[in-house]
Amino acid sequence: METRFQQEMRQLKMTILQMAALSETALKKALQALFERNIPLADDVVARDQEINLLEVAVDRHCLRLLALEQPMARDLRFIIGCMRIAVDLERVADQAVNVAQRAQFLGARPPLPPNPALEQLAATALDMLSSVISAFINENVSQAADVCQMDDNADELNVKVLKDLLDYMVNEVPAVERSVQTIIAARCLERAADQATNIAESIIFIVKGVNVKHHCEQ
Amino acid sequence: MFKLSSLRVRLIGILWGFLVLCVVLPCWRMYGDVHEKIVIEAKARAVDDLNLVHWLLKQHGAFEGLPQLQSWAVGIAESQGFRITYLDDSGKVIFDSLFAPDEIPQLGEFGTRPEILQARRGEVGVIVRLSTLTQREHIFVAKQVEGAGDLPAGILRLAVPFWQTNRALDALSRGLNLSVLLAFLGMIPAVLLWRRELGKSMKKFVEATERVSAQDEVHALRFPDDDELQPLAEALNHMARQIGERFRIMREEKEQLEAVFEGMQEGVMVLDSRGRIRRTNRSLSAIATRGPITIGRQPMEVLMNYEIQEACERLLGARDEESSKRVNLQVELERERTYDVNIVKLQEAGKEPVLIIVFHNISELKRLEKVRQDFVANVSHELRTPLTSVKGYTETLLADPQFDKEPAASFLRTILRNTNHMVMIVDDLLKLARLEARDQRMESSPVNALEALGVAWKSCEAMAEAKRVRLENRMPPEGVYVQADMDRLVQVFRNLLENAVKYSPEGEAITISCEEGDSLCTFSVQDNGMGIPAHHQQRIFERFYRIERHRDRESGSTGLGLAICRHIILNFGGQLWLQSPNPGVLRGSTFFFSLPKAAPPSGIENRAHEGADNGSSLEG
Repeated sequence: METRFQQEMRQLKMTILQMAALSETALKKALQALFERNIPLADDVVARDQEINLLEVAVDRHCLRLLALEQPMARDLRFIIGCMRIAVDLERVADQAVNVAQRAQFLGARPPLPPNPALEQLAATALDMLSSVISAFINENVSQAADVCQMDDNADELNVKVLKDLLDYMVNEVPAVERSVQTIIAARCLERAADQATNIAESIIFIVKGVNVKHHCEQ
Repeated sequence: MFKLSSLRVRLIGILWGFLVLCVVLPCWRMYGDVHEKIVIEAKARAVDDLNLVHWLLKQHGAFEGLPQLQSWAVGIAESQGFRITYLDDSGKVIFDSLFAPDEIPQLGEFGTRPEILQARRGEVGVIVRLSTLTQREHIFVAKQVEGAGDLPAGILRLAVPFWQTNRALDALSRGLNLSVLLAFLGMIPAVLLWRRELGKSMKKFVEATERVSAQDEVHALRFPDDDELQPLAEALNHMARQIGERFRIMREEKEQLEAVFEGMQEGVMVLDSRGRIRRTNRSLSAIATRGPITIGRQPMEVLMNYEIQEACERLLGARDEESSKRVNLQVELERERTYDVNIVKLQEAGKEPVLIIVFHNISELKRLEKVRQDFVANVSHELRTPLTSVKGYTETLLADPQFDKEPAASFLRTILRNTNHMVMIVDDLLKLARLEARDQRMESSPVNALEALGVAWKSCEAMAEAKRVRLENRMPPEGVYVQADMDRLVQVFRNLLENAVKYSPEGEAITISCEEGDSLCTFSVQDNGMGIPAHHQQRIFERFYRIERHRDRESGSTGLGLAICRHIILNFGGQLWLQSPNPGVLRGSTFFFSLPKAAPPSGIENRAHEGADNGSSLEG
């Protein structure tokens, strides 16, 4: 039979998963809004950010209560600390989604730029990293988390490529400068979201193995 | 060890009980009776002997002194084996057949002996007791006799030995006791032996039944020939056969259910009362792609969908009302993968509730529904736009009959242009309807694709010249023969070329090339336009689908060209697809289509050459 503490821990994991699902959906929808020029969808993403913020606060409170009342040890302690960090990162992913959605609101109201495969690839990579890191959290799979760390370099390179492509484009198309800059900002947000996914991967490795791999997890 | 309830102990107890009841009690009773009879008999005989001796004493007459009396008494006593004693009234011994007269005074007083006391009361005293002299059992009889001659009146006493009889009786009793004891003891090994034999048979039955429960297949059981246990063996065999049959039916039913469960297209998940996954089927692993579906997890962990998790928790937490037993949700688990999710709560009386979640994939239905909605919206929109102009201009003309000739003619030209556009749309729709209606392949013959390209280019030449767009033909000069229909192939080329010209920047080239495979020939039409975003690429072949609604209308196309092309190519057994942007650049798009290859018909090489000349003249 499950103890009360185990129930609480399970509940904590469920709340984190709920946050993860909401953040992932927010990012997906923001990207869909960006590529399909769907302004109502972008508005929806901006409006629903509050839900994730509230969940982050709830996770924080839950973790503090568990730490104070149960005085957990070893892996339980790491799990609670890790969840606090992951909640912060997931909330930031949602913030990046809102940022992308705001770019989509701006760009959707203006003539389209030519399709940008590097940006689409960057979006796919960021989404893939987020989805992989969530799977890694569910399954407590360290190697999958490490794979996410590896993918971060790819995201950085794609971000640079988007920047270069659009700089080239802006040189010739002066009227498109503002739109291009907005697109560069969107790419930057995606790169940040990929970084948050990497941070989550580091937290997972911390929970499972008890080692701190911050800033060098790709090794 | 030996339990009171064990069969052998109970059996021994019962048998001993029977033994006591049937043998020991009657024996004891009989022994008692015999003993009593013998004693009575002996006493009666002793009394008879006493009477006889008394009679002899009376008959004898007077004795000459005591010694004669003594010798008479000894003579009788020795011959009869008993002892004769004569006492006077005071209890003093006169003579005794066992003792010489000189020893008599030492015998002492006999008056206190019980038989003497009885005789003194006038009765015949009879008593069985131990002799004080010999310490052996005797029957003592005594009676009063009147005196005769020298002999004073007194008491005549006989002591008849009884111990021999008693000894025989004792021997009998001992024999009886011994045989009872032997019977008691002998019963134990007999019972144990019997119990062991019974145990062996029982063990065979037990083994047989264990085999029945251990094996899936149940065969007839074989038992030792044993008349008593035969009915049990038969009943057991019957039962085994019945169980085997039921096993088989159950296994078959289980296998069938398993096959249905696993073969279902719908994903199924069964949750226990705590909301943990207890079972899933194979289809579910295609639905829940978040990693391995582990038994014991919660739906959230494999589906990452909070709606479903929340619905499950609500159902499990709810009390048993009819309204809280079923939930229907539509969830999009991944992009363009929509599921109709049915959650049902099952609760049998007295058991924990179980949730069954069924996932039905409705993505295709959703997509078709969207295509249909878009089509209706688009076709009305496409027809309404020219109709609005026709209506407006006609109303203007009607409002003022005295209209100047020149503007009136211009209005009428606009009306005609819009009407022609509508006719074009309707024609294209009919064409498409005909193409869609034809399921089987169209009649086809070998056609030179280069020739078709030449004809198609002629019809877009004016448009291309206006935009200074060149055609770069990279097909082999002798042309390529494919299995198709000339007119329709021309139409495919024309539609693709028109699109390419329309979206090409001014002064750029459109490239046509051809790649021959084993059985198919793949043609490509490449432009350097702005390209087609990825999410439009899937839907661009739908009827009236436009990337930028406002841009296309001026170009005068009907929005059906690509849909028609795709149907024509499919009907000839080929494929139509696109790639955008072009490899290595950020722009442009290439449309590919494949058609089955055909051998050039004999005797038309010249025409092919003509076509080739025609093709090369297209360049520039």
